Amino acid sequence: MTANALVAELEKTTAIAMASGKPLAERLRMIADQVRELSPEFTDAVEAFVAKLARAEAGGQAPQVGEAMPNFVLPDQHARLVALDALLREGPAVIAFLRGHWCPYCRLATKAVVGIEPEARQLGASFIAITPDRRPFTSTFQKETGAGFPVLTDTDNGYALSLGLAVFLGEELIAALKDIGFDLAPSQGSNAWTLPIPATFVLDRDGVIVARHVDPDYRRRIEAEDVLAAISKAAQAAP
Amino acid sequence: MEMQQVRYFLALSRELNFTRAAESCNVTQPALTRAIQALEAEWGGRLFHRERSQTHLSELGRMMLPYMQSIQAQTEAARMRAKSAGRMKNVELKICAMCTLSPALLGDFIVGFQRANAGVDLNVTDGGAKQIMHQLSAGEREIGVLGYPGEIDDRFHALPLFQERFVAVLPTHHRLANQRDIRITDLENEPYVNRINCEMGDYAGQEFARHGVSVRVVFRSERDDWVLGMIRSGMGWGFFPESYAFPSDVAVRPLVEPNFTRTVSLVTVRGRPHSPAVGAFVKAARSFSWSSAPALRAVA
Repeated sequence: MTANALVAELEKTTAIAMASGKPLAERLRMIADQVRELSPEFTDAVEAFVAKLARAEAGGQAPQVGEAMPNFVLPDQHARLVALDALLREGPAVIAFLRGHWCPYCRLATKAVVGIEPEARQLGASFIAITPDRRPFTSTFQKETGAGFPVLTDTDNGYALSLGLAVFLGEELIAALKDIGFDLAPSQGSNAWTLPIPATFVLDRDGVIVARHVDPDYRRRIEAEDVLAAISKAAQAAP
Repeated sequence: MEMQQVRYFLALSRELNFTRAAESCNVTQPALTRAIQALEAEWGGRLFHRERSQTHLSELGRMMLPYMQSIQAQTEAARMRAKSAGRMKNVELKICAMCTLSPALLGDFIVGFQRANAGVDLNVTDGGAKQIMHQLSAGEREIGVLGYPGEIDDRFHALPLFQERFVAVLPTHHRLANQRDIRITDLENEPYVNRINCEMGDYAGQEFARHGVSVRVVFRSERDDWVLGMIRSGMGWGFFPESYAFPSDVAVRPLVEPNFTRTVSLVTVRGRPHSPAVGAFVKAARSFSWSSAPALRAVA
């Protein structure tokens, strides 16, 4: 199977998964199963990569529940700067680190969050997605997922690194990704092949983390219902 | 990877000595060694080779070095920005763009930057490549936007933005105007209208000479509108970057065998401490997708 055909197959499965109405974990598994079927070699490279990160306890230094989230100022998909401290003045916030517009898992996870967006907004919460993608790829991601919230560019994963969330993919996984037709250079504007560990932080209006999900296995994401529950908790705690 | 690990990696690649690297980071040598080992475990290979008293970068280490420098710079910038946010008020940022750049190219980017950074007063002038480099090193301008054939010299740091080709511009009734593309050998002894400010001039001249093509200059001007006027009137052909906004009454044809391309970069003086406004501009330029303009290519 050619690289392009594989990417096309994956796109199809992503669309089916999105429309399926199943819980997020099952939808993510549909993608992982499809990837394994299309390219067992690629899945082997992914498993080795994930195991290596787990051994290195990658992401272990990221801010914990009860700690304050460090401030950021990053440009959104229209190049407008978004500052965390300004956002928090309006209520609780959900910050999601995502790998990029090209990642089917990130699209599915974001789509799930979009589903709870109206209810979360009633609680005064705002959402932010952060990726190493440049514009216009952040707009593409926003449109494809139907997100009503900004998608910010973290150039070279600078902010992610300051939180201990940036990982280098390693030569094997880079080669495997190229084999199946993915190249990060155009969207990242760099050949660094570095990505954030997907992570979600729910912050109360003081910027203190009330829930978080940090998993070096990028195929596993937090369920939107858990995000909503954490927001409710954060909103109630507010004065 | 952790910030500390990246910092230790950069120190060791600079010092090439564990003791000195640990001293420069104010940590013990075992702590530095552990951090490097953790990175090696995460990246799946040795970063340094230790041979008796000698330490040097492995191939993986050499490959990672520029990216780690860049990621650290971005992290610093992210921190500085988070701290100085809202404090950038009436800061002047002096930029000089090469006069041969098409203003339309920079327009979208500058308008977007201005909207996002209302506290920065942009002051943009234009000039030739050499003049810009002089103004940068003299501190008269903070950022240059320029294309240059070949390597830019060591005093400067260049962040490539995009690449564009050069084209031949001809009077519509020129004998070559209906050709799909134009080889430089087709231009042997053709009357040529010269743009004095073109930074590619010397380089292109050498290429023409190398192919045994003699160039017959019939007109020279610093002004592109005059050059285009002369082309339109049939005086000769001209050499322009592809992104130039050409009038409809001239013929624009790709130049092939060889192609002429230039890489346009953001240029700053190496090692000079930059204001947050410079940092914001560089960061915005990095996050802008330059290749979305039709004539441009992403930098490989």
